[in-house]
Amino acid sequence: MNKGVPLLEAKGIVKQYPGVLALDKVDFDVFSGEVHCLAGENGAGKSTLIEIIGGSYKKDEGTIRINGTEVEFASPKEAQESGIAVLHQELPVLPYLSVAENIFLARQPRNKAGFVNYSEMYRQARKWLDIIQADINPRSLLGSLPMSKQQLVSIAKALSLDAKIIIFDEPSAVLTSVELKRLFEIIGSVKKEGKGIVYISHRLEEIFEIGDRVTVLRNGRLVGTRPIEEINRDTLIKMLVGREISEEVPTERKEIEDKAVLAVKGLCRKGIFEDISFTVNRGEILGVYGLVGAGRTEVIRVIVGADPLDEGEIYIENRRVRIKSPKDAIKYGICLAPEDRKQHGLILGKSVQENIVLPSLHRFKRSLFLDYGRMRSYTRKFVSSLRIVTPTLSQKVRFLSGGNQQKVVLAKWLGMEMKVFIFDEPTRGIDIGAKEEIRSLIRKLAEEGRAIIVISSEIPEIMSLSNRIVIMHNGRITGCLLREEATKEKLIAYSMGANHI
Amino acid sequence: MRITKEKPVELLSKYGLYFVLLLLIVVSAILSPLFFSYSNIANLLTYNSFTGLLSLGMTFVILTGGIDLSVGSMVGFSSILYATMLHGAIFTFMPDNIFIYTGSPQLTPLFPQGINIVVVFLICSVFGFISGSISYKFRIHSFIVTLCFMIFIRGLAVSYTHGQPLFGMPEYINFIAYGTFLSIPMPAIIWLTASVFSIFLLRYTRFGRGIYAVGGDEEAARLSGIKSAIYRIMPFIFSAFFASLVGIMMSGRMACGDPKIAQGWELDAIAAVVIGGTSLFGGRGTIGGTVVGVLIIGLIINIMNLLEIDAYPQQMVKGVIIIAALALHNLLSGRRYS
Ligand SMILES: Nc1ncnc2c1ncn2[C@@H]1O[C@H](COP(=O)(O)OP(=O)(O)OP(=O)(O)O)[C@@H](O)[C@H]1O
Ligand SMILES: [Mg+2]
Repeated sequence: MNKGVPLLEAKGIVKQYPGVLALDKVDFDVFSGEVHCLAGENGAGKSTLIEIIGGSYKKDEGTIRINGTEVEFASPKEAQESGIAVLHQELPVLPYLSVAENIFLARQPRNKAGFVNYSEMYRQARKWLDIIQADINPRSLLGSLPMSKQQLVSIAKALSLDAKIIIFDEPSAVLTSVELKRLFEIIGSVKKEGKGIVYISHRLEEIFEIGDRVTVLRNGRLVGTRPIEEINRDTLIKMLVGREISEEVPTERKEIEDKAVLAVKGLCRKGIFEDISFTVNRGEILGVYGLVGAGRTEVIRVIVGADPLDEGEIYIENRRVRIKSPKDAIKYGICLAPEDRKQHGLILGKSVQENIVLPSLHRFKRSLFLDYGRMRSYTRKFVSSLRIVTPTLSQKVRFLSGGNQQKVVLAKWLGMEMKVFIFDEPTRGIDIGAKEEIRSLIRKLAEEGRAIIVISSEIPEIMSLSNRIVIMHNGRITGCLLREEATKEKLIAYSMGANHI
Repeated sequence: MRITKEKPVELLSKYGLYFVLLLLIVVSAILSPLFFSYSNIANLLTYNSFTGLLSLGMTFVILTGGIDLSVGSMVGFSSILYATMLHGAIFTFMPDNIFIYTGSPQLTPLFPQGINIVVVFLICSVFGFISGSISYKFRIHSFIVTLCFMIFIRGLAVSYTHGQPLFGMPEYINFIAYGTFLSIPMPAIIWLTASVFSIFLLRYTRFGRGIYAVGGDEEAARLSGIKSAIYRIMPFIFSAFFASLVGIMMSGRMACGDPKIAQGWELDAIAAVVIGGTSLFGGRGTIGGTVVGVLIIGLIINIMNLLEIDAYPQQMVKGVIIIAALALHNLLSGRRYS
């Protein structure tokens, strides 16, 4: 199918970071009218490769050709001018500027006199947002939008650049199924226009759904490039991890004790959600499913005291508590691994070890001092079980790949001694090998008798983890199912607002 | 959904500043019938236009996440530089024993009249360019760089004439300093014109929008195709330019060049900018806020003058009020997305 000169051809790309050979002679090309997926475990070098193509990092060796002519990008701007649009993994957004301005940054529409024409800018932003069917006001501040909406804005921006090559670095990590479906339709239509698309994802089903070819990287090296017809799920997994992994085999667990640890009654926050009641028992994993905007994260934020509560009651072990701040929540034994981990969960300038041990420091006290040896072995345990790719334990977290940063945050929370654990999208952005590991760590916490709430937009994940599933739609609970009763169809129906099926 | 919910709070934090200004005006009017007199208003505007101009430049700098401590020294430097040029040189070391051309009308300007001013602007702007570039290139926070410049430039200014003022100013400077247009004092006109110009620049040009972007998140701006150098350096040039403008206006008002004036004015400017709602972390703030900030500080001092409070207690009150204003502002706006 791929004939002629590729739109983009990268050959022998080498990139060395201090202590990490991120890319080792990698070849990659994109033809007009194809979706070329890029896959690999966390830290394999995917983002590095596309950042080099997009002009934000400099390569050490290798050549990049666009339509057959060699190019050397000194800045993202030059790459943009050559027709490359990149949707970055770490959404680079300006929260205090409007949505429209984020879309048209540095290329705002201007009137004849050369001044920024705001009404035109809002109009054009509206147009691009409509194309992706995003219900977002172009005038609102970007920072006031939830993550998924911010991602939609970035997608609108990538499309508006009118590039020949559009690169998506894990766009699905913060989108839910409806939005993702829409994204795939859009990708389908720009593909027909003859554009080339690069798509990075850890979700294999996505790769098989939209990919034409797939390139797999492992430890900075090219494992291979294959047309999608020539591979299946198993061969792809083998290429990805180079070893066998067992996937999604939820072991039957012992009966759950009927002892409520956390119970909420009639929680309400005006205009956002109302009448939310549920209970989580000792040793139970409660899944919370819903589309983005259903209010799941908002409910959790109230429970951990990050937002004020308008009405309703919260009980911990049958005792009514008032949680006014995250500190109160921790006092009562509730902790949250938030959805937006980059902002809330990590100290980027500190090392992997410092981040992981931070919430459990008291455990490493030895009289007046801290036991560094035990801290190191504790950290090492997580680094190896979650397969965190880092040259040393003292590497600053800032320099880890996106997925590895996620793993560090999770390791941090997984080691805490709490009664209630809340995980908001725990495996987002994490490669398949480590995903299963994280799930089994969550199951282990439950077996130890903790109460667990997992918010997830991935149906298979929520089905494999939860004992019970609560489904939310538009700020209300529309359904509650035991795992045995839950099916994909029922979850979707409830999440779209159906009350009884 | 979240947006509607935050509206009242946002409104309050957005317009709270104007409300405070209004309140202060009402209080002043009640305290003294003289408040609304022409001379009081004219004085108020004139005295505040100097801090006002400095805080315009400062707003640009702070919007990009920097700070400029050198503006006070720059005012003194431009004042003495201008005076020396009027006397026929760019640089004169005065021998110790000769005391000044006191009141000498014998001006032998180095260049034809208006050009001297332009040269002062240029030289000061170059200093701004240098401090901005050093901070940008070597990644030293501008707090440190401009602190050094503050000391260096004041030293330079004072060395010119061994700290002595240099008297004698041409007629037309008088007009800038004391004249009126439609009975509005000239300094106020200059300040307000420059403010309007700055508002326009920040809101309606890509350059202005780029300042917000770079100040908000330099990396995000870079990935969107913005080269940050110009946005990080230009504000220092603006700031130095406005400082030299103030220096020349001040020379007119005092009828002399004085290297020792405007000590500590940078702090007044920073206070006004911050009261006006501009974030010290950059990326957020408006010129309108800064103008109101200047007026708020000015009014508070005016009220204290009307109440005949002494200068030193005035300073205490000023310090307390600045903190109170900021605390209130943060309480109202919350720190939702910061
Ligand atoms: N600025 C940096 N300094 C040092 N090392 C870095 C830097 N950026 C990335 N790395 C390292 O380079 C390797 C490749 O990172 P990259 O971000 O390309 O991975 P990735 O394939 O995108 O992973 P993920 O799926 O987690 O996003 C990682 O081991 C990472 O630690
Ligand atoms: Mg990545």
